[in-house]
Amino acid sequence: MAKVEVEPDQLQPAPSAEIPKEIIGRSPGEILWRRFRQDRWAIGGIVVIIIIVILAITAPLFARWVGHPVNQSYVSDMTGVGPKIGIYGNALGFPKGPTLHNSAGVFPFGADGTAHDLFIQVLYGAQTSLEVALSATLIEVVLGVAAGIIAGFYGGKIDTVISRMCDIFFALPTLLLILGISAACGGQRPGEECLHGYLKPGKGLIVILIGFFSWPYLARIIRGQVLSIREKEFIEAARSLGSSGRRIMVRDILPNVLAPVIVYSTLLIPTNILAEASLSFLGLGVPPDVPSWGYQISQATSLYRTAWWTMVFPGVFLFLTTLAFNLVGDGLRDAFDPKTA
Amino acid sequence: MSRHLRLIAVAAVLALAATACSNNSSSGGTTGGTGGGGTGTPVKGGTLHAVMTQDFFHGLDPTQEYYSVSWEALRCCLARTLLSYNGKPSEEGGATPEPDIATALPQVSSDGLTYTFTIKDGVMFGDPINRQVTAQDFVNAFNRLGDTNVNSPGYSYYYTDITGFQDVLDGKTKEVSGVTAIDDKTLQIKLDQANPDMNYLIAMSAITPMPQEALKYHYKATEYGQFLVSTGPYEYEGMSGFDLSSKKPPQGMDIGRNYVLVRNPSWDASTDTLRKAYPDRIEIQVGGETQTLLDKVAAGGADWCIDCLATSATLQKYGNDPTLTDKVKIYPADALSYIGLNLFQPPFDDVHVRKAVNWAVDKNALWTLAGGDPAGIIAGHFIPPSMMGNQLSTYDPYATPGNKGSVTDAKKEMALSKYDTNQDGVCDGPDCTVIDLIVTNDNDQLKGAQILQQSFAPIGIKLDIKQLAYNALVTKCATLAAHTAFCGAAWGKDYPSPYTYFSPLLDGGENGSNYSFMGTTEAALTKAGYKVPADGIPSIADKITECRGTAIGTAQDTCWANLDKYVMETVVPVIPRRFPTNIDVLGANIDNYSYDQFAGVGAIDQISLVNGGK
Amino acid sequence: MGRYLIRRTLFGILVLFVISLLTFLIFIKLPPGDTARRLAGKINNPQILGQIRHRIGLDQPIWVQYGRFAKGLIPWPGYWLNPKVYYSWSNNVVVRDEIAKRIPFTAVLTIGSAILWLIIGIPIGIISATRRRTWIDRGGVVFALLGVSLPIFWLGYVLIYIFYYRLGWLPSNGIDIGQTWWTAIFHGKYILAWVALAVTSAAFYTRIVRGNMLEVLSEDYIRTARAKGISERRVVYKHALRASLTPVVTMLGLDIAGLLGGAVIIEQVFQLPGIGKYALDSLGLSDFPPVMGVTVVAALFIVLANLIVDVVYAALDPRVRYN
Repeated sequence: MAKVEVEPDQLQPAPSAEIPKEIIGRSPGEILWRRFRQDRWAIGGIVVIIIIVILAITAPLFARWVGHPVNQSYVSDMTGVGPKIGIYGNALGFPKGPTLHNSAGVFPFGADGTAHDLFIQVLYGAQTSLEVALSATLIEVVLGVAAGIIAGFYGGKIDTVISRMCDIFFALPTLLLILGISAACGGQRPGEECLHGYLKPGKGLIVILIGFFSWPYLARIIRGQVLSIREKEFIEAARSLGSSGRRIMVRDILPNVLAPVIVYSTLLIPTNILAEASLSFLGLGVPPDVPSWGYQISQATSLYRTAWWTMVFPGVFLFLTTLAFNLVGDGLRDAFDPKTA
Repeated sequence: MSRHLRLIAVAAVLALAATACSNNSSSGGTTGGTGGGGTGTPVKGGTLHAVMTQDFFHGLDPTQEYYSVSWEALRCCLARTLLSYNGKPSEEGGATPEPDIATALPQVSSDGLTYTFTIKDGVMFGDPINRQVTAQDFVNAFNRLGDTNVNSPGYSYYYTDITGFQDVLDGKTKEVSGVTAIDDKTLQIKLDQANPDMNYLIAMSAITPMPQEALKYHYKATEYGQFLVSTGPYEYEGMSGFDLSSKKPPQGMDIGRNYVLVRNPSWDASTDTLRKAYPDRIEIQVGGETQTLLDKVAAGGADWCIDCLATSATLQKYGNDPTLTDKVKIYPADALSYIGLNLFQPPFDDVHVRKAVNWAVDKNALWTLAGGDPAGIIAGHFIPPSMMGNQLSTYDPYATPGNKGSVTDAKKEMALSKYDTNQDGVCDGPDCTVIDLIVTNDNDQLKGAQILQQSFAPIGIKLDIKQLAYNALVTKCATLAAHTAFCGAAWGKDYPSPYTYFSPLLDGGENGSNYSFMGTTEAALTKAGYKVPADGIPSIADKITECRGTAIGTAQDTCWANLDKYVMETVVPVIPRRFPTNIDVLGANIDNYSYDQFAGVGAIDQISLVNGGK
Repeated sequence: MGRYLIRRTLFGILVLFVISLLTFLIFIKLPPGDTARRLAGKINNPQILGQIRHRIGLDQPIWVQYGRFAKGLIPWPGYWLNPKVYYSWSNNVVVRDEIAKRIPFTAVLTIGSAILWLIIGIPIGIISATRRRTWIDRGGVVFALLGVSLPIFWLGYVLIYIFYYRLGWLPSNGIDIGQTWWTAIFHGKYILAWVALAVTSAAFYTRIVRGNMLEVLSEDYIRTARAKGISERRVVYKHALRASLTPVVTMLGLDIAGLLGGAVIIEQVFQLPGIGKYALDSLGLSDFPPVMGVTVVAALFIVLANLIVDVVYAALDPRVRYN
């Protein structure tokens, strides 16, 4: 199964938020960086992420540079003539492979089934992928951190309600529900979208679906962290000084759970990238005229035996991107919690 | 509904392998001939291993099935009808109903209102009933076709000329008063008004004899098909000695997974001149991706994929290997791949905009991506020429050089429309900027949508492509109140008459398949929130009636051809894309092959195995 | 323990209730447009639409409609996926029967790959932890990351390409004529699917075993054991392993339950006729009762797995006490 949601296990060995205090003279950030820097794999991950982000941002520049706008078909230039089928004439329409010399310019990755420039489509795919994954992660972090802090800090009935809610979420067959909503709401015209227009088809719908169904994982971790922090002296001190609950949560608790938040949100990004790709692969993700790696791979399934490039390029980009984020997330975790490094 | 679906499926086949031979479309069928490997006379025997990507839609219930592959399975093997087809291409008479259970074509009274059929001796039901078919069994079929609890999606609307049929549809009575069993051997059908297509209608699967012995236990929709008592050369495995009151279907009928047909011992070949029934046993396995199944056929793991879309990979493989090229069989599918335009939804409520998009579309790109020559002919109008005696085979009111579309002509036309206020040939209003183009999750459709998006951009029409599940899509396209501007679709004949195009696709307003809503009423438009057009609601109902009143043959063909021209030049409710073909790819074990023009699918009973499968 | 189980069971019922509400809303109420019209096809005069509405209960008040569907969620013979409500809108097949026919495929897929990923994941995790900071450890960590990062659908096609099209060692995807869920095992039909699932899941197990092992190895009682002179092998394999495997049980239970209910993508790629594929195919036809049925079954699996895992956990780890 594709890990559409964060696996609970990723989140179990909770890193400790405590930074060893015996080393005097270096800030926690500095210590972190020194540790992180030694992880060559993680640095490699950072480099790959930077490259992919730059490629995604500059995709329109590349499109202008090679002269191939996104979603533009080059049927007469980039489809080939196949063999003659008996008396019936030649089969047409096979995409042409990577070429530097074509009447329509340079096609470094060849063409896809619709005779688009696959290179440009893949770059725009990076845009979609990052946009969806980062936005979904943001939703998860906001919801998860807020719920986790509130549950951990107030305890009692509030905690019970939030925790039970999380438990229910864990018991949902998330993928099936996401597929169902996406199928129901993915093709509605303006004015009749689901929930009176709050669930508009498009990237936003996918972002909301992914984000909404996976925040409880983060909430559970944060809650655990807050439970231990809550009893610390500095919280007691703030309380006795008359700080309001909200102020304590924002000023005192939030900074102390930042470490796990950073680690887990980094690890959520690749999961969300795969989630978007999986949904688009199944035809229930972003609309078909939004370039997406998952959609490109699903288009390649009937072509790739003769047109390998249609499968290889989107797949490799997708794989490298998730790998890079996982490497960085793993490096961060080790840096925060050297015990398991 | 399945009718469309098949077409989408077929169209996808065709998508990669466009239509009949473009340079000799008139003889596309003949050139294919019948022989497969051609070792001479086909031999009986052996097991045909067939596969399908998707299941029949309604468990082979003859009343319900509205899907060409189902029609073929019923025609060839399980459900004989009073009149039927010979399972061959048009050139060999495959589009003409011939006597099957009836001794001869019906006797028609001089006013054309009474049809009398005589039933052949020796036409028997298979296991477990094994008795002579009687006229009452046909009465049962008519009654069931009228019952709205079991007949949807079906095609019962074609039968409303029969006296009393409408009353059954309306639920007023359970029995069609116009259909009577005079005696065991004689069936009489009375009509309220003459219907030139009666023979075609009698040849549809829904009018197969239905014995009370089975109906009394399994009358329900879809359920009946699972206990179908055969009249054809085959029957479900396990029907021998089967207890019809059982709740569990016979072992050869495993809906959604596989169908195993064995010889029907009560079928007497001497009563059946239409079916060859070469294989001893037919196994049909359901499910799998197209490419997987085609590869399986190529590797010998199966003999034939009945509903597969020939992919580019497969066409390349077969085209490049001279020993395999004669295993590819291509015939005109009598189908149309088109885009329906909603005549009342801005900006398409302006005929100039509808013409402009017809000028703009790059049909060549659509056709090339669909596969070029083998996938079909670029369509310049509405009715496949193969269905009108090849009239209009070169007609195209929106012809452009190389069929690539013409921005100049499109802009010229657009400038005449009320949506181009500054007359620069680019649509200005907000109505032009976001138009939903809804497609199913089908490769051909998706590719097509992107080409359209690109074609329409220069005239200021911006498309927003959205994807929907097939059924949801059809609902949206066919519902006036959904305000869908246009829909990509494909359509195949129900029986060999252009009537089965004009009536379902362009007449009667909101009828479930009419995406242009031509012939709707003012009341319906107002209710759905449209402005009623000042120059009236276009309708071709009168013209359809006129053509149906013309004698079948060249005269009627000409009438339909003129109507086609009228539609394309005056109303413009569609953008025709392609007249697709049906492409079959056969395994090495297949010897004889024939194309059934009626269903638009390879004829299952005419397939023979090399050396009888030994 | 008894009271705990009762509480968990009550919670399970609550979950099923929420699921029933969600599925009802998502599949029956959310899709805009007229369900009856969708079912009617071409003939859709008001009278037919009325009949269809009546047949599937759309003419009833909303809570009655909900009640019809919710009753089918009660895991009890008379109610469970009641065939009068849970049948396919497209071919009338009873959802319960269809799920029963398909679940063996999903089960073989799930259990087979679970065995495989445990065989791969656990040893790598142990070795990684015991040879910490060696190249073996690094290799283990990298393997884990590669596995987690691979898009399973892409991996599936790559495997099919290599082992079927190129090498011809293994059969193509899809079940062949005459094969049952059982004989397909011997025709190698599941192998690539098992591998694809195992590669992407083993990584999680490697990660967790390694992490736990490292943690346990630094605990006091292990140090005591070492101090007592117990051999390192014994320390690792008897004491540390046992303690670090208990969380694996939780994960395994939940993973298996998750896959039993929703191996949609892998079943699609390898064309295995399990219940995930059933749900996906039905979605493609807007045929919602099967999707609801599968969703409900999936939720039931997860609830049951949670219960079982809790019990097993208690048996394995004497420190766990329920109150």
